[in-house]
Amino acid sequence: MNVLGLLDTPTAGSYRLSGQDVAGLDDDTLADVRNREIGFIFQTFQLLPRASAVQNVELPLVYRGVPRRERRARAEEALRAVGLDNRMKHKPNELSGGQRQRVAIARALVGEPSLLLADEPTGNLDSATGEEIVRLFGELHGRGHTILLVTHEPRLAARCPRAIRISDGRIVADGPGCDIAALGAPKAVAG
Amino acid sequence: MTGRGERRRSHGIPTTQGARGAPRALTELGEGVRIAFSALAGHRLRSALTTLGIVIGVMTVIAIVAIIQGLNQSFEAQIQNFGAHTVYVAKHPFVSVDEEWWKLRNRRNLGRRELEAIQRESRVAVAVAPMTFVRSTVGAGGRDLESVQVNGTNQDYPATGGGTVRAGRFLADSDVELARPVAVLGADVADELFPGPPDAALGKKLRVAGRPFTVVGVLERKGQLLGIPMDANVSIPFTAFGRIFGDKRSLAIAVAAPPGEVTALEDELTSILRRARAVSPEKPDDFNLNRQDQFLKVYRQLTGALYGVAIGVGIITLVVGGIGIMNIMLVSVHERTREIGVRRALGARRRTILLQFLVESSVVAALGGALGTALGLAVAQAIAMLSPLAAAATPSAIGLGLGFSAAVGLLFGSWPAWRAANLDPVEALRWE
Repeated sequence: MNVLGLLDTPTAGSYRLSGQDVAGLDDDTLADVRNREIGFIFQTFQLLPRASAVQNVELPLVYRGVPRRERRARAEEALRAVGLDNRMKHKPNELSGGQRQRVAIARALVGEPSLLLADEPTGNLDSATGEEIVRLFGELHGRGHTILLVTHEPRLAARCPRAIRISDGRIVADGPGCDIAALGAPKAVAG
Repeated sequence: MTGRGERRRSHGIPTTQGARGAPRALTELGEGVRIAFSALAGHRLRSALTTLGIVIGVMTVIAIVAIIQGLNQSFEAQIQNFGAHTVYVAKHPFVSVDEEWWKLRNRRNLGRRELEAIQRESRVAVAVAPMTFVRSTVGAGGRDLESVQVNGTNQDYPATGGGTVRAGRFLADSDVELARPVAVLGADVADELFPGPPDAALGKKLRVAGRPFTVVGVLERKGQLLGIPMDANVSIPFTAFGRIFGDKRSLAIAVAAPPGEVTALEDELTSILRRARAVSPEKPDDFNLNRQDQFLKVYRQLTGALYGVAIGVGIITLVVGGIGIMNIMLVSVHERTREIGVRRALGARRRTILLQFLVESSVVAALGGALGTALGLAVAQAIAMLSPLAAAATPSAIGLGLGFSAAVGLLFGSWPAWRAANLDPVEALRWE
């Protein structure tokens, strides 16, 4: 996951993102690629506690040098897209778990990356809220976003078009989600 | 969600930032300042305590510097009371720093002989005035003023920097020749004995040491020199002075030169005086030629030492304050490890993180510096109001206070910021 997110470098093998090998890119370039190509969604949301929802969502655009006015407009648009029209100015501790994860998803979307990386996105949510988030992923996928999500929940994996099962660092299965999930898969990919 | 047309444009990996570098740096800086203020607001007490060292350091330095500069300004204004181009011939130096007094005490007095020799022989001098004084009682009507400085001088005294006439006239040649009992009053004496407009005193009767005098003039107010009032005096012809107080005391002689010829005057005076006093060629001068810059020199030595102390104190407190800032920044970096991880994941470069924490530490320090500057100026003003000292708030002192504290913030913030920038993003995200 960290390798796919360009936070870590592979010790063996190679990683090609959008057709380009990322080995040998310097730290600054990796940061820029993360900024443009990858949207992170974490199990623990990882929102900045002192920043409002809209400020959290603006962050990737700050690191891209987008002017304030445009940044704010795009962040608000992303929050509307995840159904948080009326929570823009709320701090994370004023939001529910599901709302926090929606803010995190808006933050991942706002930079219009080519890949969304979701690490156990429903792991800290109750099942009803988790279900909302999963449905949101489904919508995003329907709109053409590439989403890679890691999960231990077979039921979630079953709903992905493609699933890869990894056990002890090795790929043990790769196929349509419903088939792999039947094996009790720990890892899944939506393509 | 999309509809902005950028979405699929950025395929392939950008390797350079190029054109967007400048606006990006600006937005990052803006973000850094915003984060700094929100972090400060989030920990008000902690930030206040952190910056206390800087506040105290800057306050001390600003207060001392403001007082020194205030003294400088008033001193330089006051020193103008002495003629800028005037040489004061005297038995002793004005200020003696390195000469031993016992070598000077047996010098012969200066008297009329030397005065007349200078008046007769000097070709550079434009004014020659004897100066001698006693403290005595001066009165008019039913009032007596104790311990007024009574000056014995002549008509040239104003031209040597002795003052300017505000009302009436100064002493005339004939007053001196005939030792007439006429007096010119300093502003304080005039105010005390003859309240009202300055010419109220003119023609009035005055008692100097019990003798009757007539007021012919009043001088402009001079203010103070080093806290000593310069206006509590009465000037009378030195001939009349001699008759009342005796003429055995040593004269000082003020000799004014045209601008730029002070050195020539000094050379000339040396030879005139040596001849008049029959100093044999192998002996050193037995008199001194004094100038106002000697005051300035001693004065500068004094304030120079004070400056040194101020700077020493300032550096020590700023270092202590700086260590406080470093400490709190390390805590802040530690606490915000996860935040750093998130920012790195979202595309912050190392130097962006570095900048963020540097901005934060300099903002803390600069706020402390601003507060310290304000307090320092307030303290200086308070001291100026409660004591004879003066205070001046110069832009350079304020700039110095702010600049120094921001520099301390940068310097002591750089190590914590460097640690923050070099955190491993994966570790940082996992940090609890």
